[in-house]
Amino acid sequence: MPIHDLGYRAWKGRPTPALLRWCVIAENGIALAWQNRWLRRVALVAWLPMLYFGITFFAYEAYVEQWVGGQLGARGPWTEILRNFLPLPRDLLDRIFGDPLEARSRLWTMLLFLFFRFPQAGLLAVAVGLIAPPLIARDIRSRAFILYFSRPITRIEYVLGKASVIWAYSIWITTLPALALYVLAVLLSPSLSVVLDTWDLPLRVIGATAVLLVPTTCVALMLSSLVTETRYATFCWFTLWILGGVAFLLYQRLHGVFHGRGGGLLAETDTYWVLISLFDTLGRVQKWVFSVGEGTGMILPLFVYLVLVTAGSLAVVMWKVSSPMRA
Amino acid sequence: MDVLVRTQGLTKDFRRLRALDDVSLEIGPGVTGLLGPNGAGKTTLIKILLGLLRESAGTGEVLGRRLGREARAIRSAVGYMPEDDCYIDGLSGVEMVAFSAELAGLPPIEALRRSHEILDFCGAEQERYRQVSTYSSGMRQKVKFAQAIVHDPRLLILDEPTAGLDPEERRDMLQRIQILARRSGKAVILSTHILPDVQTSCDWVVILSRGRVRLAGGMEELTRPASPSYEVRLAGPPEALVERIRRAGYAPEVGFDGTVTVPDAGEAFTQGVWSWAREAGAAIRKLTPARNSLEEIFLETVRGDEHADS
Repeated sequence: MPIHDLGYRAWKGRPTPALLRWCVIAENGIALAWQNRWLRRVALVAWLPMLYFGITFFAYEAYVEQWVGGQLGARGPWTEILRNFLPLPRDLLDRIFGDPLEARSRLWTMLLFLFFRFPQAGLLAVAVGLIAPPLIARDIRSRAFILYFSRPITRIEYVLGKASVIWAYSIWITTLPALALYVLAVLLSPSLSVVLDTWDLPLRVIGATAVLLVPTTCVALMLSSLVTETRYATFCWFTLWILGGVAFLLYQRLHGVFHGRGGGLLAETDTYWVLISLFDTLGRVQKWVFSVGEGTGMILPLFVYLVLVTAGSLAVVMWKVSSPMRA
Repeated sequence: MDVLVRTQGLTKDFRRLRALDDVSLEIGPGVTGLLGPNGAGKTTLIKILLGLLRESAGTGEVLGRRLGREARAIRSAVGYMPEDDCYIDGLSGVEMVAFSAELAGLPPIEALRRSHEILDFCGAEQERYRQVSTYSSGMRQKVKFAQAIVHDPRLLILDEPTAGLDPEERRDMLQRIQILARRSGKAVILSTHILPDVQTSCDWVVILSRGRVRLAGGMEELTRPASPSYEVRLAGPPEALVERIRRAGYAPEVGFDGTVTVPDAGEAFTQGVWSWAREAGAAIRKLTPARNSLEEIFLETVRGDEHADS
């Protein structure tokens, strides 16, 4: 057949494996989301907190090295600078600086948890707020479901493909920087023997990622599936995080005032009021995954709550995705 | 006939509404027109064939695959062009066609190459690089058609493919459908309200009304009159020839466009009409066997159905 023949020609190729078709939806979604300028900025900024924590690890390891060599006392100027640099409660710092070598594993865990929990989780909430709202809402508005489902694609694969878009960016924003921070910390340590004490941290990072991503993704997709206007889903998403977070923060402050408890990043109250804030609920479970701090006694109810939120959100998503087919 | 689509007693209920009622039909190669008034059950039937809806009762198969159980395999081998104005927001025309190709299983590079090739076939020029959301309805039809055929399906289901097209684009679209059916051996199911499109393009017709198959058969047989009739087109005024034909014992009718239809006309008519024309001083431009109008057939079928139910 001549190469200039522009008529219809049959295609005789080898099709890609059917089980990987959801990857096509994921790739397309990732590419579309990347067109958002603000998301590109967030994806870049997400790696900046690593600098602060990297410097902290370096300073601490340098401190430990000098402490082991007997060059530092428990209350020298270098110790004070480092104590002010570490975002930890005073009593914990006292214990750490009592025997920095012994506390190394615990401190590493806490720093990684704080890194994962605060700057990265906050950036993740922003990123998901930019990525997720259009994922399904846009398909509802442009009636694209029929284009997907007239192909060899199931509804589960469709949802998996859409969820993968959120997962891909979330891993870039939270998991990869946390793992990179761990590797950086190991490389900055005077001795690689630190790996023996902290080998479980990458696994904890992955576990905390799963805890964070599964419910977050399902809730975000649910909001996207409930509207045709992306901005409404965005509004609901940020309202859910900000309103819940602020409400629980207020509760904690008031509780601290009336019961005389101090604040702090790791000091949290055991209360079911935490359920009003998805951010704090996820934080409690992540805390349990990292085995840091107190207030992990009520982990089972929180787990159940997150499972229910996930299952409920997923049910709504599947129902909404199927609805155009039922008509 | 090599049967590509077969249904047996297919029924679909939406709560109290019966959308399809005991639909049994066979569809073979060539172009099959699926006709019916609004709410006749055409879209429901198509969705069941694609495995998007589960039938309430009955069985069927598409390309040898069982309905419902092998929906994925069916959708791999079928190309569907929906009636709705649907697109994937944020993608250009070529990206959307390539995306559809990848969903159907083409590797990425091959999908892009094939998309350009198919868009060339569909007559999409540089607009293919613009976002689909900015397209005119005609251009969107082209892209929907391209995404339906990009994976080289054996069976094409086209839902109102000429809706929103200007006359020239409509002609081109029908030509493309003909090319696919005649040269590339695709089976095509053409669901449309535009009856002239069906009459010019289809080999078979299925008329659905109120969820039931009211009429199914070859276009040739359906449009053939009960008794042989002929149509005569003339270069000039027809009156003299009509008078001469009448004297020969026939009952000619003159249409609004001057076409003379002669019912109950056999071989003797075709032999005699040339000499009658010479006698009447008329020049025959065209002499063809008369066909029943599909519009009449359609209206009679649907009205008959309404009368039967009332």
